Amino acid sequence: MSRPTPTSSESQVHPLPAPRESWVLDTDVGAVIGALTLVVVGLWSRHGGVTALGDSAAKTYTSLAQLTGLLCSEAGLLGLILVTRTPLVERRYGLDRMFNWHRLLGEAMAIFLALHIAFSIAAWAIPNGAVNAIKSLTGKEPYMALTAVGSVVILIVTLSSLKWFRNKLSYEMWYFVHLTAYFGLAASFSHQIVLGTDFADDALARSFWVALHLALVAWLTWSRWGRFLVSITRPLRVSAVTHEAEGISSVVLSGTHLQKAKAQGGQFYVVRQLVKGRWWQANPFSLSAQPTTAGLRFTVKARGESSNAFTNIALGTRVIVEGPYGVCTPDVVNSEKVLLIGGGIGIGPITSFLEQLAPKHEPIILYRVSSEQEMSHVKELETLATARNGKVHTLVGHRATLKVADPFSADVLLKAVPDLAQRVVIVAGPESMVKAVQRGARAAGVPVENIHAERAWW
Amino acid sequence: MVDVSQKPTLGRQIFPAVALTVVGVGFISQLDNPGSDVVALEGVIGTTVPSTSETTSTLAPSPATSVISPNEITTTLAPSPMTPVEGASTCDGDAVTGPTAVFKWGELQLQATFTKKNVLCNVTVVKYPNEKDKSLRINQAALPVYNQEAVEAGSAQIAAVSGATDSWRAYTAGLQAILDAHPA
Repeated sequence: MSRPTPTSSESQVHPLPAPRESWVLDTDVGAVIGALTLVVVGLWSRHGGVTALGDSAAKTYTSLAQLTGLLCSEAGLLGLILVTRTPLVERRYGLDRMFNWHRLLGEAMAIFLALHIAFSIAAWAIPNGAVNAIKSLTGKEPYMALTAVGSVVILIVTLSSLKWFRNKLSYEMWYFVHLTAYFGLAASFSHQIVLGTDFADDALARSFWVALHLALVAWLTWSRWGRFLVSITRPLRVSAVTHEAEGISSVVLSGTHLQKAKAQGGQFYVVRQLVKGRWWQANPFSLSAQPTTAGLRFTVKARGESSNAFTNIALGTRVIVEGPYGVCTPDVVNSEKVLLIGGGIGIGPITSFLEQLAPKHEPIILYRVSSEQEMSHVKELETLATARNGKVHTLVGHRATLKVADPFSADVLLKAVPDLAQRVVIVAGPESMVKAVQRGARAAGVPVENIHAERAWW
Repeated sequence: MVDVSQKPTLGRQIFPAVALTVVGVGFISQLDNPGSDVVALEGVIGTTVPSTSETTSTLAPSPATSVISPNEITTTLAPSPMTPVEGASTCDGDAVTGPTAVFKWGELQLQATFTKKNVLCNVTVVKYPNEKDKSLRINQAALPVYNQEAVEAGSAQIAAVSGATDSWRAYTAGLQAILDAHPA
């Protein structure tokens, strides 16, 4: 067990302050999405989109092609806003939910794109035949060759993100395929302005559309890539590595830049080691101790080529961190009692969360782990819990060897934690376990808004 | 983050939606609305039998403010509208002058010539909006294309040229009126 300890140069160690809260509300997000949809559909309707629907087949298809094209762009724009990882949204909803929404918007975009292509070909095929329509739309018309390439790129990116393909690709392979989406979007922008009658014919609409895209590019450049570059200029160094359990190590990162950092227990960083051949491997690691100016501690399990490299990383290695991300922090708790449930390596964020709780929370910790060799931070958990009026229960063994079929059913949970319904439930672990806990806790009478889950990072 | 201690006021929740909706509606109302500018067809359709070679229109032509004679469009600008289309090598049928399509930017009138077998053979523009330089530029580029596409398609089912959608609406409306009055 290694705790971040002050080095000689740092006289005083402070816990890092909490990152600033976001002022964004659900209703604000709804207002932005609603207004953008209103403008996009209104623009289409104002330009005669609705009246064209009942008209000749050619006009109907053209109108539908315009609508689906505009909606495709809208989904793309909203998806890119999520990629900015803007703290405005991240601090309220968390990066994992943003990525989830990004994926949904990507799927919506692909569907609209397919419809847009189909309707466009149908509209152009009416006077000229399908073959001529496809020829025109893949090269003869201005900018359509570029657009066709861009569309293919976007479709490939979408396909590569479907679970079936995604599981066959390494993270890095998938990520670099994914980056080409920027090219795909940029390549297809030109035809909207030149060929899309909504923008070619109407200067005001065109100015709005171009301004909207430029603003997003500026935002994305700063918020995503600018911050990334800043993080490179502020590297931390590995100051301690401790073997915790079989295949599990804790790694402490320290550096002077932490003096101004803000973070909370329960949050995670995207971590890269600045080592030749590894700098581009991004690892999401959860804090496993309360972050202080002395260091950030992560507990890492060797479960992939990239995380293996972290479990025995050399002291002094330079590491860059982006973040912190995540909203499952002690801020979700007011004065209620707390139940913390950690599964496997999910005990890391649970430990850092626990450290920031007070005796009034009387925390109960359920630690679910498949074998004793994989248990980490047990003594630390017990010390922290005792000091906070709480206690630790462990549940060890493979599912098949357990006495109960579902260790997180309402019955079992209530037996271990009789006052469960009065508690705020925090869970970190594998997705299947998180779902089981959510089911069980709700059945035991915990309101949905009192159950908080963070995806199990490493 | 879920901040349970401070619930935002109703006004704070509603204001952004109301403000953005107002801005959005205001913006949309400022956009071009070609849909409201209905293409009105005025005048009657005049048909000239082929024996008389001169083309007469039953409509009195509007005062000629044009610097470029409308027919120049087809002769000087069109790359190939005069090229014979298969099955329609000779335009020896009726010549029909259509109604004047009145739309947002002015008036557009077409004359269509058919073969003896009543196949659309040639379209010329009798008059088109030319009061503004922009109208002149757009129409001189687009109308020859429409002429050619119409002859190739043998109908008013033609694709719009980008930036010339209004002219396309007037053109297709005018041509459809001719075709309706002159069934094949």
